[in-house]
Amino acid sequence: MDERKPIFQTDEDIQAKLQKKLGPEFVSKRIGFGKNKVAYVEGWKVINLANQIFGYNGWSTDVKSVTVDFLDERQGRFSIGCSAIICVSLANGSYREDVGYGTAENERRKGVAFENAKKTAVTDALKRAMRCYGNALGNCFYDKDFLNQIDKMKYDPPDIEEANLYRASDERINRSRTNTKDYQEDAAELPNKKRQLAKIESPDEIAQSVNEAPIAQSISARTTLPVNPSGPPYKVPKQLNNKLDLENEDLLDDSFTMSDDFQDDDLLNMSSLAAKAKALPVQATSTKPKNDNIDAVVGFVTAKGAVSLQNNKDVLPKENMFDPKYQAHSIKHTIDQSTSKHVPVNAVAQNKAPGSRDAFYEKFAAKGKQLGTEQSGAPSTIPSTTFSEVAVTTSDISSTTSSTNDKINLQSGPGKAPTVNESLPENSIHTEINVSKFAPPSKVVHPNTSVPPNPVRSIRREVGRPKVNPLQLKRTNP
Amino acid sequence: MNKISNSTSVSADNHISYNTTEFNVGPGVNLNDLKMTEDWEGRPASEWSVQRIGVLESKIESFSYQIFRSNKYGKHNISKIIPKFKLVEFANEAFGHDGWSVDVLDVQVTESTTTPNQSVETDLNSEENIMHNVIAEANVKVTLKDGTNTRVGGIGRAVLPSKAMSYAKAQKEAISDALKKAILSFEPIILEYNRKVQSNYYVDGLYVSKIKQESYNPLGISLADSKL
Repeated sequence: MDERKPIFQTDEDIQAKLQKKLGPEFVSKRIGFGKNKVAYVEGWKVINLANQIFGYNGWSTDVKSVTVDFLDERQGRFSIGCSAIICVSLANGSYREDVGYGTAENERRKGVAFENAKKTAVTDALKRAMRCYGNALGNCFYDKDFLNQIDKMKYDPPDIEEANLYRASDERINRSRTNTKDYQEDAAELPNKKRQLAKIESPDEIAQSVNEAPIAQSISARTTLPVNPSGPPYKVPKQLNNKLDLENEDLLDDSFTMSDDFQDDDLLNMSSLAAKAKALPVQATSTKPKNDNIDAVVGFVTAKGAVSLQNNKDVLPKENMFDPKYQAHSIKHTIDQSTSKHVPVNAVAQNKAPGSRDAFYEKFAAKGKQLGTEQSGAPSTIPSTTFSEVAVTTSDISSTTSSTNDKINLQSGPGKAPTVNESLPENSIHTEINVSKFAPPSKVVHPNTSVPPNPVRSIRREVGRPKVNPLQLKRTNP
Repeated sequence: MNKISNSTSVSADNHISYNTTEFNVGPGVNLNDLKMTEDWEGRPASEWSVQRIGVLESKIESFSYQIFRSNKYGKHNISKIIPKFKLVEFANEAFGHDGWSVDVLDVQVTESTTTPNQSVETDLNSEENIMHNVIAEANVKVTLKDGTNTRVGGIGRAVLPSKAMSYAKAQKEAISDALKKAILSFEPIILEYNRKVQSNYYVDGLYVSKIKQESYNPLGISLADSKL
């Protein structure tokens, strides 16, 4: 709410906020003294409110004293009463002190009893001290008239907005820098576990990029070694591994693409990563400018191999070569992640005329259902496809009728003979295009026993549709 | 009116600053004897507090007028009738949220006894039917931001079947009672102050100059008045 306001707020601003009463979202109810309902604010809400009103650095609390008033033991159970005095002070020096009380009754363990009693006492005192600052910090909940009014207000708690959550991924960049070393250590401990990189470049591409941009050379030469796993051990140039600047390598390392879950973008952008590598490594050139003339073959090393590289070993053993084609047997592979190719665009979508009615409807069609309507025989909102299905099922007859219909239409408009050919109904054009999607009917199909051809089941199921259809009943179009 | 404002006004008028001045005395003179120490206990420390306390009193007055006029209660002490949240609200409005502070100087449970519960059938052996009678006393100090302060004790009493509950209620009541009395006792401070100033009671410190000034000024016009 107040995130965009400056941290140091003016006194008038705070004063105005403090005089406002709290909305129904802050009210909680419990059974208080004498079995009547008591409205209260939860402790965490008060802390949130104080942070909002005073700013996170605008207030502080002191626990002045915690006093255990009595500790009674009865049949091995403990009852504890504990009072605490808390001082809540503001940045300009004003403060409020108040007492709070916490109890634990018939608790079996003494430690738990103390814990509960003391925590409750401190929270209670905090709330009581806070409420002396004004209505917005809980003072309004002592006003019975106000409580009666606010009881009538309806409030439904809002859903959690994902954009407002503080997630672990917010720290991803920082963490990935610190984690890369751990990664290497982990891999060194478990040498058999070969990780498959999402970033895969063929040696030719790398050689090209090296030739084109000498900037990219330092990285690719440092981080890559020959891909060919069956080849002999390679000589590693000495200049490279004299001093490996780990810090810079971490900066350049895209280690979160190495995580176990592959991101879709990575799979798509694999080819473009080589181009990106040219733009990235400005720092690498500044730190390592002398790697220009290296005749090393490039490729990937395993993490263990990287460690041995740093240890100044000239010869890299064969088992340290990284094999991008390696497939671990312990992992069930659904797709081959070592290669990539373009996803073929649907031929029908390409063939659509830009001004056609189909393309026009596409703008207004529900986005989520388009896949299903095209693939399955489910009722579709696009009239041309249903029309095409009808045309297919009834085959020759319907097509002839439609053509006759066209002719009838032509005859009905006598004065417009030359423009007729241009203003042919677009539906008929599309029937021809869509018919080509299916195999032409080999035999004459009777209209009564007709079955829609190619009953492809939609991948996306509609909500509410039963998942099991034991009788394999076809859905009839309404 | 207090020492600090006086010194700043001097430096502003004459362009002389005493901030870095070192004061020394010769042998035989104690520097501490020359210090002007003033005790602000029981009197307002500045014009600000005099004016703000007036605002507070008017708010309390208008609220208590509604209560007394409705004749719902008898003529009780006002601290028993006015709820705490109202007084706190008035104080926040009058002094500002950062204009006053609350110290809890002392909370003590002075008495804790058990009595049989009269309302239920008397079964003295059962522990369920014992009422805990707890009396607590508290001492609260309310300080305004210029130093004006009041210091009042309060008392709270609770009789409840649960020992912890009665402890809690008694202590909280004691503090609330003391706080209410402390806020309300700013009124007598102002009344007392006005009476004492009029009767030239204050003869120490800064008031001496004021007395002299007033003595030469029978019309009651002071040089500090902004209208002149």
